[in-house]
Amino acid sequence: MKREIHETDMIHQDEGYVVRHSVLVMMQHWLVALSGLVLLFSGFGQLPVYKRYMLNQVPGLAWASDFILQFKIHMAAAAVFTFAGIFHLVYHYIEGGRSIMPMKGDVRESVQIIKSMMKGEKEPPHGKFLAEQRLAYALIGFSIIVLILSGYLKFADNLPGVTIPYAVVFWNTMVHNLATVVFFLAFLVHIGAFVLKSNWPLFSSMFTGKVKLAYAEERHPLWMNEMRRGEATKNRMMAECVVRVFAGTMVGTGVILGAYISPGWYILPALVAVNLIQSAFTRWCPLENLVVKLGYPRGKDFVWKYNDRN
Amino acid sequence: MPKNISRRSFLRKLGAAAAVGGAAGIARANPSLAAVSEEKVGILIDLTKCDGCADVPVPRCVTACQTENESRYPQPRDEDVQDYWPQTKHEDWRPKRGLKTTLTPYNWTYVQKVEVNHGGKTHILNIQRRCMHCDTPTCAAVCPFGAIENDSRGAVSIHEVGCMGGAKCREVCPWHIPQRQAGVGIYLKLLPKLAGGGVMYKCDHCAHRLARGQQPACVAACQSRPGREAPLAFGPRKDMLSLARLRAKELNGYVYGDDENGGTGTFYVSPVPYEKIDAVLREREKERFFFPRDPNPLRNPNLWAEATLIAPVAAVAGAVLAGARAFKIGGEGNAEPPPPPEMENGGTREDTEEQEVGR
Repeated sequence: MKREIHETDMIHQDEGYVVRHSVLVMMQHWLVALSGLVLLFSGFGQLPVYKRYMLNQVPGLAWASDFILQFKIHMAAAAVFTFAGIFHLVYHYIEGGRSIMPMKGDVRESVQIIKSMMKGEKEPPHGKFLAEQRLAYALIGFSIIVLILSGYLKFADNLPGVTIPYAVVFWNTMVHNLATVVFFLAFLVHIGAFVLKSNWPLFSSMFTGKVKLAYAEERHPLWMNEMRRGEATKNRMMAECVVRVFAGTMVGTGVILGAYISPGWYILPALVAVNLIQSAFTRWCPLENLVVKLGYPRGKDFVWKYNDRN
Repeated sequence: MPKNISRRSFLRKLGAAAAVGGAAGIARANPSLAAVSEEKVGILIDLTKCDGCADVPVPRCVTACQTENESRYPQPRDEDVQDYWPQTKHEDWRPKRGLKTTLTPYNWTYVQKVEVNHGGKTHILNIQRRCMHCDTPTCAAVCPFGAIENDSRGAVSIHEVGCMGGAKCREVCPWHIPQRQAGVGIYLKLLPKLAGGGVMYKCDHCAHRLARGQQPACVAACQSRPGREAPLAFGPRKDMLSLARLRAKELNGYVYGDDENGGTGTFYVSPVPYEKIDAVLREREKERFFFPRDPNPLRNPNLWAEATLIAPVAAVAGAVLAGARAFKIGGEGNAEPPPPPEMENGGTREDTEEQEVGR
């Protein structure tokens, strides 16, 4: 059976490869990576360091010390970064992949892996991700969430008519700067991991989405077992939850835009309110119908299996 | 009659005690004008009334500012004042500590003298210069350490404890007001050779006096001069603005500060267009302070607000659409029963999906 590349966690026995990342996952990764790099560069550009250290005298980099330009670049990159971050959370919640979430014992296992790498011994069998990848994911993810939230607060403070208490502004700035340091260090460690030859196949998989079958069998036997048992993807979301996410997003956006941009935006939460109430009586919800049409199961038809191993 | 009406309502606002004399007299009669209210305050500077205190060597506002704020002037130790490596320079204003004719870390306001020809007349203007106290201060918005406070009264102050002395605030300020002194501040405790450059100093609208319900020291000193109408007036920001516009109308003159950099808390009234003043200043060789017409570079935030709010919504919408696709491909959940390993893997999922739906 011919399958498309975006079907992740698939073994292609005859062709000799395993699909490790879907196109969407690679897209998320590179959006976060590229916008993250731009954010780091423009963020450090918010300090007066490029002029002092004469980076702006490097041909083609004269703009680096222009604070206002860097600020605008930072805002644009922040929008992309936020898009990718939220897309990631919602998409993987829906799609059900949990293999990168940290598990109990990951710290101990990471130490063990690093030890065996240094001694040249065989590593313990891995799932789709290594224990230290799961930990790195948690750390980077946490710093990203903190950066986005504190960044949005900083942004709100710059809107005319919005006054945030100075103590909040000051500590929020500190938090944003500290999270930047964590994000930057985590990024260095992430890149540093590819010094090790054993990790090279994972590097190329971020471009191709694939790893060699032999590599996966050798290093990720737990993942191979999961895929063979058909367990690699689970925990799907149902239509009703999608509707709730949408309703909440619309209400939240409408309230924020209504408060800060124009009261006309309050029409959005008002419409959501009317539709939520009427749908309770009529069970008619155009969004739910659309979502079901898209392929999400209705709650009543759906067998919710959070994790059948438990 | 709109002129009278608005003036009358202004008077009413200031209360009975203030209802003596003209606009300048009002504030004089009631020094605790802004009470300890949280309302935004502003200062009106009537350039037709200021002679730069021709009767004394240093204008009263400048002297009063020094008396009020001297204790907060930087006091670096000699060994701490060093070059900003790898640059071979640093900013040390100690040798010019007594300079009262420009802004320095040791002088937060001064009176700029300008001669301008306008309408066939030569106007000699004395202009009190200092921080404008913007409504949406660019300096506070972009300070990387959150060291600049824009308080509820509209006073913009630099907090020494958070200031690394990078002078970014001076660069983004349309008037380049904050002034740097090397050898003081928190950077000495971090990496003094590699990062930071001192502390930035400027007028903070006498925030400590405002908190006590007093007017800024410069205004109080200006109004204490006997026998002359005071050029400086202090009060609620919106009242100062309408007063400035009224006065400009009377004079057939011009207001500055009402929408510069998105609006400020300082309103100059001049009989001469500010473009002309600016042009004269720009001809001077060593002049540091001008009258630009810059719009706030961080304005049009609505566009950005929408972009940054649309990003999460678009992300949720995109993820839901993409998630639906993942559904169609992958089926609803686990393959049951487990496919035999020799079968082509994953191929069993769609079969399973049908089974589950069928159940």
